[in-house]
Amino acid sequence: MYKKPLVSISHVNVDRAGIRVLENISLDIYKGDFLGIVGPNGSGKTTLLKTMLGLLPIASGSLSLFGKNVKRFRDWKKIGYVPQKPGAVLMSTPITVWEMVSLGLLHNKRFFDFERAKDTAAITNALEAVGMEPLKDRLMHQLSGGQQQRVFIARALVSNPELLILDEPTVGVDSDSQSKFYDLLRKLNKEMDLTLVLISHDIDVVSHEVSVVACINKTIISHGTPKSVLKGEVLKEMYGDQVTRITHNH
Amino acid sequence: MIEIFQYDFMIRAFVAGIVMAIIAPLIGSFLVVRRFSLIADTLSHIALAGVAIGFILGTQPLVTTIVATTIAALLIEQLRRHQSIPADSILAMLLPGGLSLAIVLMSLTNGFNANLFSYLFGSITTVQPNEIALIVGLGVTTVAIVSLLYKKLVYAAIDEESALVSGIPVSTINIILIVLTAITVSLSMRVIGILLVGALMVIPVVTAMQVAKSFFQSVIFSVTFALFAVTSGLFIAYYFNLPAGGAIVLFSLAVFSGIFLVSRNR
Repeated sequence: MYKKPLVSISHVNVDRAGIRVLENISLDIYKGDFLGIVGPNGSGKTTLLKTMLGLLPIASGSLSLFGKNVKRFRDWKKIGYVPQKPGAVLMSTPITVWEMVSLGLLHNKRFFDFERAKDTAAITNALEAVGMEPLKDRLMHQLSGGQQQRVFIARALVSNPELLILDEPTVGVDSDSQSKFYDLLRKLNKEMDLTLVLISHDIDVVSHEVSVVACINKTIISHGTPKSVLKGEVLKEMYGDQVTRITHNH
Repeated sequence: MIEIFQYDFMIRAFVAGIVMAIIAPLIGSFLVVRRFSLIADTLSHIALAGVAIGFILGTQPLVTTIVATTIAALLIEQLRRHQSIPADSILAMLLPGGLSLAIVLMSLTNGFNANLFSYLFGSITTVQPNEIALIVGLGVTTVAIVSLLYKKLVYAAIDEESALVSGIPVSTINIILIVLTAITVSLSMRVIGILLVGALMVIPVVTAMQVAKSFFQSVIFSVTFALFAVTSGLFIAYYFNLPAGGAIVLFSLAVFSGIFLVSRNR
């Protein structure tokens, strides 16, 4: 059966300050996918993500979200976004876990952002899904990096999205917390049928966790299952001759 | 009735002071989180140019000040959005720019220099009834707008990018915040003075952040601390014949010092 993609990117070029940073990108993301976008620093991963979210303009090509041109797309509650770990602002702001997650419900409120009973239930459900409900009254800066990322996922989940996009979510998170974090992502993908897009520079992690990989270095170099994509010649094209992938079983 | 309240000018001083003690930290809460506190000082120097324009035109200086600071605030936001100039450099350029314009304009007016001190350091006891109406009216409007948009202001302040992806009109929210900042700075001018206005927008907020257990609580605490500082400062200023603006800022700093020491030693 033909499935319509949730995200459809076709021959997209993106320029920044007169320089072409993404070239001829074509990529479809389907419901249930767990897509990893990998590439070296400066390869355009975050630019691709921001373009996908309509935060950066396209020079040419087309991009649609849930069948609608990105410029006309307004149904933002269908998309959850987990940014790279915010640093200084979070460390000096006394904001609680509950307050942080409640911000994810603003897309459907024009004025008066008061919490209603259904909002309270949605926030509780999102916190329970990521195992942070017992810490709901803690201040964000009292949490570990891994716990903070769980809160950001809860904020993204609270609007009940169909697509969750994560930008390098485990930077600065210790390896034990990373492992629990990827367990949570697998659960969201398999049990809640959530489509995930994960941006990472860590090929090894991505190759173990995701179902589809797109390798990017200004353009899409390779796209498919981790096994079919992460081959020597692809890695060489992305990272140069000096890279060797060492696999090991834990 | 306490002696101090037998005078109409002191009642007006308390009304203006209480309005400012509510709206200055209310707006300041979002500026401090954005690390954009210095905008208050920049706008206050531009406010001085607005006052000079008011004197030249022979109109109410508060009105020309609000117009001048609002135009400058919109210019700052426009430059900040383009990201080609760092935000702190924009403020560092416009602060002396505003002051320079004020100095040049002041040299064109006769008699303004005599009033200069009252604008630089505040002159709350000379607030006129028509100014009170403007201060209360704009103060109530500011509180209403912040209440309506509270969570959107919080989201845009702590994580602009995620707020955009949530479909929040971040540009509009930022413009509203910066215009409210310009209005608050202009209104604070008579109460606390151009050189001290930043203090009322920042010190109570930073004090509240030392002890608050949530962002909402920090907003409430900051208004409470500002109310305490303004009312105490006015009483002290009246009974000891001191400048009210200076007394208010010193009270704010005393509260901060006490709370900072207690919270660090807990």
